Amino acid sequence: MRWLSTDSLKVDHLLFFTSFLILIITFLGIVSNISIIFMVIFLALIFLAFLVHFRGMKLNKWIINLLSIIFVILPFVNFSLEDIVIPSVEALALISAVRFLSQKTPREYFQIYLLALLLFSASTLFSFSWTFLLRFFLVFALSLFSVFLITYLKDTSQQYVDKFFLKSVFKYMLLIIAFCIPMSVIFFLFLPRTPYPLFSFGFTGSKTGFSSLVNLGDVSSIQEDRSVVMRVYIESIPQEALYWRIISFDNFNGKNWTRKEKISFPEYLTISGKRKTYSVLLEPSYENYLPLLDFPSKIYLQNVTLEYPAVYKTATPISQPLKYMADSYIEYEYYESAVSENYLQLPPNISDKTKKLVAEVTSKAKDDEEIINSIMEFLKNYEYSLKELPRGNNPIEDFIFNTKRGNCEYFASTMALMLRIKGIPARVVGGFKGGSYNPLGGYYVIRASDAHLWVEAWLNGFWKRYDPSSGRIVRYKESFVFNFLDYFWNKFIIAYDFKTQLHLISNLKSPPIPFKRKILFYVLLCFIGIISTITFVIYQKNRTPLKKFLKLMEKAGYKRQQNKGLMEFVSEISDENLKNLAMNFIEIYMKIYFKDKDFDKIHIEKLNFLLRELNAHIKSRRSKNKGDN
Amino acid sequence: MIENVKNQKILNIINHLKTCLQGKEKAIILSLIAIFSKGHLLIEDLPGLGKTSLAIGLSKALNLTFGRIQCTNDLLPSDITGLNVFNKNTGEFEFKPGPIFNNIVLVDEINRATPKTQSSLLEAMAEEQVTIDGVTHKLPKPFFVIATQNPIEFYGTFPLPEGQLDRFMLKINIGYPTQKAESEILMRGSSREDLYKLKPIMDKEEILMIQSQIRNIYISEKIINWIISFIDATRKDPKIILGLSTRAGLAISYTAKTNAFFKGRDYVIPEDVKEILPFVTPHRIILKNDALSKEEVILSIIEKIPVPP
Repeated sequence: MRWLSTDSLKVDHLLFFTSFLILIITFLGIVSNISIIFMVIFLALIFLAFLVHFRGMKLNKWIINLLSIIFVILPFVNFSLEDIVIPSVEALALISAVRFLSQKTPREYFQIYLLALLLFSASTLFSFSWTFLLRFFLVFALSLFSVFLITYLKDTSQQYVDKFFLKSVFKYMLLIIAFCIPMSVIFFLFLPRTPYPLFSFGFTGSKTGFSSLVNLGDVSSIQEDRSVVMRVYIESIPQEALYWRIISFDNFNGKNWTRKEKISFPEYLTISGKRKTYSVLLEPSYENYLPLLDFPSKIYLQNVTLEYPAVYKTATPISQPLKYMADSYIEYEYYESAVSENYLQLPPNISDKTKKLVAEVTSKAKDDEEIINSIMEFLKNYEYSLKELPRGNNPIEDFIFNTKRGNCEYFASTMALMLRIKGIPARVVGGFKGGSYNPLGGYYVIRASDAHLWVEAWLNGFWKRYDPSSGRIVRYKESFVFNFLDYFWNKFIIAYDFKTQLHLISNLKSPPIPFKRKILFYVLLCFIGIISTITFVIYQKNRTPLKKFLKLMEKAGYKRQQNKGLMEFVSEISDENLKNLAMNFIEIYMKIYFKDKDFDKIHIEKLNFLLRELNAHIKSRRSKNKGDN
Repeated sequence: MIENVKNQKILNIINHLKTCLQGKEKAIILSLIAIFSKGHLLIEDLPGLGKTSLAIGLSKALNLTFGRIQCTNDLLPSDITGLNVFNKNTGEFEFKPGPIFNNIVLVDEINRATPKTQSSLLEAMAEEQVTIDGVTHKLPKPFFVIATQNPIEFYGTFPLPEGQLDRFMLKINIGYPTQKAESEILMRGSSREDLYKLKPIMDKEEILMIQSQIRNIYISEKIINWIISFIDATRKDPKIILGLSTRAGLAISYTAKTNAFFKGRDYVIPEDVKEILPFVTPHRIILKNDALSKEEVILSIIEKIPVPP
């Protein structure tokens, strides 16, 4: 860190570091979507670039060109037409890293920034998170800074910069940013936008949804993912009722759960409970199934097919954020006259040992309800864990007899299995449990880590929900900052579409989007505060007597050059009267200024008096000139 | 304009000298700036333009003693400083002071002296004292050297290197007088006689007092910073090999103060600095390309630096 210790920084290193930060920040936006090999190559290239830069190594041009060509081709070696985005992004990332490796003239730096910009735009294909805004501001500020540096390097060919230079650069940067923010707000509000997304081609991101097949242990990998899966706009309801139903499974082969496509609806079916209407903003899940509050009754969305029991399926995988409204019953009673035999199906390799255990567990139970309760009670002895899950040939027996620890999948599967052994129809339901309520926006945030499996059993004609692992999962609490940013981002940026824009323009008086007035008030207050402070500072700067004087002189047709002293400037004035008046002024001014005294009230008044005199003279002169003409 | 003197005392001296030094107003003012800044003056000019007259006039008007050294290549250091001579009567060595023991010393054609003699002279100028045979003799105060140099004849000369030139606070050239002034001179004949009869208008004590007054003139940090950025620019300028030294910076601030005093102010403004720059700085720098004018280069640099406020 030799170069940091001195007062002046080497422009070279400074540029290198800013570019490094720009590249890394943009890379962070795509890192979770590209394949791990390319991530490693990217990081290796960056590391190599550091070596090259600080060790002063030189790479041959043809090596760099060769690398570029290889890295353009490599990601496309095995690609499908549906998946053209990811390889392109990977190639882009690698090329920018290679550019970073090569000799860096201003031209190369601009190339790096251009590539970073492309990468940055590409990252918006993957996520609409508010962190985008943060990354955007960082990249924006850093790019501005390095453009300043490059221009400095080009213009002065100075190798070092000092504190004062950096200070003034920061000043200008802030100025530019302060100017850009209101402009971009205006552009955002009024620039025409398409009602349809520009890029609607699909690509496979990380899957957070449930498919029609769940291997035991699969869900645990989802549960470790913290990304937001959906937001549900609904009034606050008790956590115990928060089960988001996606899919139900009937067939268990000992290792995985699947669903039979064609189970027909029973002849007689009733459902009653408290009815809730809500809307869901679903992030892309790349699956066909829609999560809904348990138990769903109706969905307001086109091209959705309903499968038994209450599984809503879209025609194509969900690769775009999707918004829909639906009705559900909570605290419901769900009656079916008869159920399919599928719900009594048992895996072929079920052992006598298991059957014996079930008999033991339920030995004291007199009826079906007591059987269920005794099984629930029995499962309370098992430990809930996301790690070291049994994954052998017979994972359920492993769980029951050996490890005695597992996640919701094992609990639910074991319970369903035991119920079926006892002749009670049962099925496993997949979805999410819980959610954190955002009081600002009035919605629940559900993350992938909320993924859950539970059991439904058919008891005396009623399907009832049983959750053997309930109360075992510790939910993460969302911070206020997250809630605020999340609300703001989703409400005002993501949800701001063509329709709301039209609405805003056609009806400017009333607020276009429902929001809390208080928040808008505070934001506006902050904005006004910043703007007025800036204008006040600029105004104050212009209010000094000298600035006024110079402005007046400019009016009179005399502009002072930066390299001219005041006396020099005034003595060059040809109009004798004006010269004398100006001389009076600067003599007083210089006496205070160059003696390092403060301008007190008397002086300011005196100077202002002289300025008025000057102004009067200039005005009279001008009117005389007009008369002459 | 450097001629725009407003201080009454200084104006008196100038008007007094003008009577017998026609058309040399600028040279008079610059010499006075050098004297009151406690510096020394180098005049580079052709022979016969009144260098000696200027020196004599100054010494007479300011009531100072005057010594003259005509440099040749066989001039020895002791010819300048003086030497110990054996006195037969007392049987002791007695110090015989050289011409340097005067208030105003005219060193004519300094580039004709050998480097050895030159350096002993320059040392005396810097230290304001002379050491002979282990005994240190203080030079009188005020002490002011006017050295002259002929820019045309180079044969058999030892031009002063820039490092030595740095010791002269100002370097000026008198230049030809205007036609009007010249015709007046020719009409009246040489005024050397008048010069010797010139009445003093000031005394030593007053000169020393003004000198100390000038040192108390206020110079703002804003101007110091501006001067420093100028000096720094000369050091970084690609056209210049040797930029300005710190001694040069000191000379700039001293002479600027004197200039401000002459203008009747008790604080320095940027114009004071700008006016004296062409006389204080050009002889202290070395250019890469000899064909350029040092003064032009200096002026082009100062033009690029924004002036406070």
